[in-house]
Amino acid sequence: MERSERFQLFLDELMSATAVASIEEAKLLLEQTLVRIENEHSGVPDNPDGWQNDGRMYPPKEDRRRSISNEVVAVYDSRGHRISFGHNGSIRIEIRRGLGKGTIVLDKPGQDGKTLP
Amino acid sequence: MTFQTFLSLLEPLRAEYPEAEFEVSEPAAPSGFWILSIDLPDGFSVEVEWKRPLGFGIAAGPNLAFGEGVHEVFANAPDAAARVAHLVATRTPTSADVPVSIAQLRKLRGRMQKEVAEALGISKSGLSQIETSAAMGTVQIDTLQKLIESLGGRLKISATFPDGMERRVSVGH
Repeated sequence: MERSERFQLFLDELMSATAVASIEEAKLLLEQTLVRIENEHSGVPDNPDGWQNDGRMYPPKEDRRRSISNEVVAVYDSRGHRISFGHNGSIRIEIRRGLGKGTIVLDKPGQDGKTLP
Repeated sequence: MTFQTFLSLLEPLRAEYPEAEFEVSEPAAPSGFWILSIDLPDGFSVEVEWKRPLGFGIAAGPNLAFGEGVHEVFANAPDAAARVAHLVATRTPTSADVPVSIAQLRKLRGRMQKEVAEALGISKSGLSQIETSAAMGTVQIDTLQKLIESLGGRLKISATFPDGMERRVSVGH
């Protein structure tokens, strides 16, 4: 499956997953969803310690957490995208570079039904 | 050498392209990635990420794919800055699939001929001959394998066919 298709599948499955209630749970949900989809559809073995592009999408690790993070929202920068996790379990993914800059591609509410402000 | 050193080397680029947007993203922890993003009005974007001891990782183009790794790696700030300047000037998208020569690969890994030759137990001129023969396509596979391993990597050889089949070919261990 092409990367763009896998990315859309990831967004769809993440959006439809049961909402969670904390930053940690939200980050884990994103990780597990992406790893499962890439395992099933990318054809590329998981190499979480790699750095160079191998054709597979990887969830953000702690070394991508940004200094603007706080107890209310944890912000991570991935390739061309910003991923924010809210303390209520909400998740937002937005394009932060290049064509489509500023576009929010996923805005998942937390368990309390609220999205990030 | 810090990320700030790298940023200072890009000052001429900022002056040459005042319309470009330069944004630095700071890590939450000292051991995290520093990220520089350069956006041009035509949609072309360059991202540079850095952390010790990995070096500088670069990806460039109009579309930067979610969660993918960097395309090119540079060990030092001057080489990374020069590459960024070239990418901005030419609007050339990077690709991890672009082949490089063995000599280029050694430089991308930040290694000098002398130290790699010593690791292999050969002379510097001997290594130079290997790099030349590799460029000409006459190097032996086991020689190439040892050289790649001396750079900390692993040699992978694959075969592709017109019907779309692609398979890695087993060579040695």
